[in-house]
Amino acid sequence: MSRIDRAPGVFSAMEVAASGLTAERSRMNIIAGNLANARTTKTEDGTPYKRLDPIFVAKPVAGGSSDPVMNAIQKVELSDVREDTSPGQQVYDPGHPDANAQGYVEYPNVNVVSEMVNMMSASRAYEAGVTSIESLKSMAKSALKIGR
Amino acid sequence: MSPVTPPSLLDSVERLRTGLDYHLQRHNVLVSNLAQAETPGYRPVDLTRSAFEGQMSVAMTGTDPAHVAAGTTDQGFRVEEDKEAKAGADGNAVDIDREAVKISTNQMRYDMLAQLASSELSGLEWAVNDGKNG
Repeated sequence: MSRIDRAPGVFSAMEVAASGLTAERSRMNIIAGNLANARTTKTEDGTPYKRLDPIFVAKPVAGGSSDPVMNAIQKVELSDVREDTSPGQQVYDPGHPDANAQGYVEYPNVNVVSEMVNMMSASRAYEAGVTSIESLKSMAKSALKIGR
Repeated sequence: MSPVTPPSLLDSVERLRTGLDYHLQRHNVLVSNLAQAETPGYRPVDLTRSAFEGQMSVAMTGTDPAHVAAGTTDQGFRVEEDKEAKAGADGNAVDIDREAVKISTNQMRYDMLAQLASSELSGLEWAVNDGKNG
């Protein structure tokens, strides 16, 4: 249920931009979790850590509106956080407490470099969202200046 | 044959207002693209405004509303998919830099129109004050 059901305006744009910021921040949290657990060989269920991936979906601000522009304006939502099922790296280390019978330890499937790249893209998308809010504010200001 | 109505004092401001409406709505659409930067399968959209409406405003007023093409708003704005955008591996075709540039040019146009409307109105104010005060 959305408060905005009329024509697109300043507040609908704010709502959309804010949803983008929220999405990028939750992505950042997930990336931070992946990086922190890059060498975690044992989780609560005894298996090595698996990297997590956020899944986003687009959701119209006001679905089923008679205004075609209003239908095109979509917020973003985190729909799911999925585990990456690809196998982790096997390292031969018989002295490790989590080594298997053959002496191999399974490390998480976290690739630090690709996590860093994801982090950069999340922070750039966040900045772009902040800039769009700034320009929206300046537009609202110049609208308020009309007739002064 | 209906009589031709003389142009009203506020006509020019009214036309600028449609421009302001357009740029605000376009800002909404562009911000929505930016928010979907990571949504798989999302294709960016843009808002176009038919120049036809501006040039032919005399001919367009008061005729059949059905003449306006489907999918356009009563103000003549139309949502169009950005065909130039190239999709990545996940089907998402949003280019953050492209959208950011569009957003800032859109903002500059909006600010310009707001300033024009403002000076148009202060011109009217000058006229109603008998040309006094500057």
